[in-house]
Amino acid sequence: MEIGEPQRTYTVEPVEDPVPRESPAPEEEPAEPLREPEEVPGR
Amino acid sequence: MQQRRRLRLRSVVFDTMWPTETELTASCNRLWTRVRNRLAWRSEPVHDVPVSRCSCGIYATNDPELAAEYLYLYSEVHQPHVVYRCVGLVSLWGSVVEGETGWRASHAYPQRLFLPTSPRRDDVERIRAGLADYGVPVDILDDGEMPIARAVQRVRRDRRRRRYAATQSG
Repeated sequence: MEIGEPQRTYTVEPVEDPVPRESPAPEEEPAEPLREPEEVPGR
Repeated sequence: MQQRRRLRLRSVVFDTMWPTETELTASCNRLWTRVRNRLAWRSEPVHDVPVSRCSCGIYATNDPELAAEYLYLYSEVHQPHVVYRCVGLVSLWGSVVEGETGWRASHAYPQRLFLPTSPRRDDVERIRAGLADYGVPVDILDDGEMPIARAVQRVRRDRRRRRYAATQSG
C-alpha cells in the first residue's frame, strides 16, 4: 500500500483497549475446607 | 478466508492471519530481515517494527478509494481458501509511522468491518455471521452514504469501464 513518504514517527498508547477481549470467567470462590465433625459430649 | 471451518481475516498481500480477541502484532516480512532474524547468534530482531527506513508494519490509509482498490488486488489469482473480500476501519497503536496518506503501525485490531454487496445475499450474510468472532460490527455495504460505500461503488464502476474498454480495443 502506498502511503507516501514518512512524515513523522510516534508512539500511541490507546486510552481504552481496542480489542474486545472475552472477559475471563468469574473466579469461583474456594470451597470451604471440610471440617471435622464436632464432638458431641455423650450423655 | 476459511480456516478449519472458521472464517478469519487474512492480509491481501501477505500470508498473515488476523487473530480474534487479541491484537495483530507486526513483524518485518522483508526476505533479508527474515533470514537475518533466523541466524543462530541473533537473540533480538534486526530492527523494531515499524521504522522509517523500512516498509514494514500494519498498513492503513486515510483514502477510502485506495482501501477499496484492495478488494480486487490479486483477484485474478486462484486462492482456494479465500471466500470473500472485505474492507474496514482499524485501530492502530504502539509504534506508528505516519505517511502522507496513511500509517503503518506495530499493533492493530479491526474496529469495524464492511462487506461489499453481492447478488448472493445469503452468502454475504453467512460471511457476516462468520466474522462475529472478532467482536466488532460487521456491516454490509448497501447503497449507503458512507464514504467507504461510495468509494467501493466508484472502484467497481471504474473496473467495469476498464474491462469494457479492453473488450472494445481487443
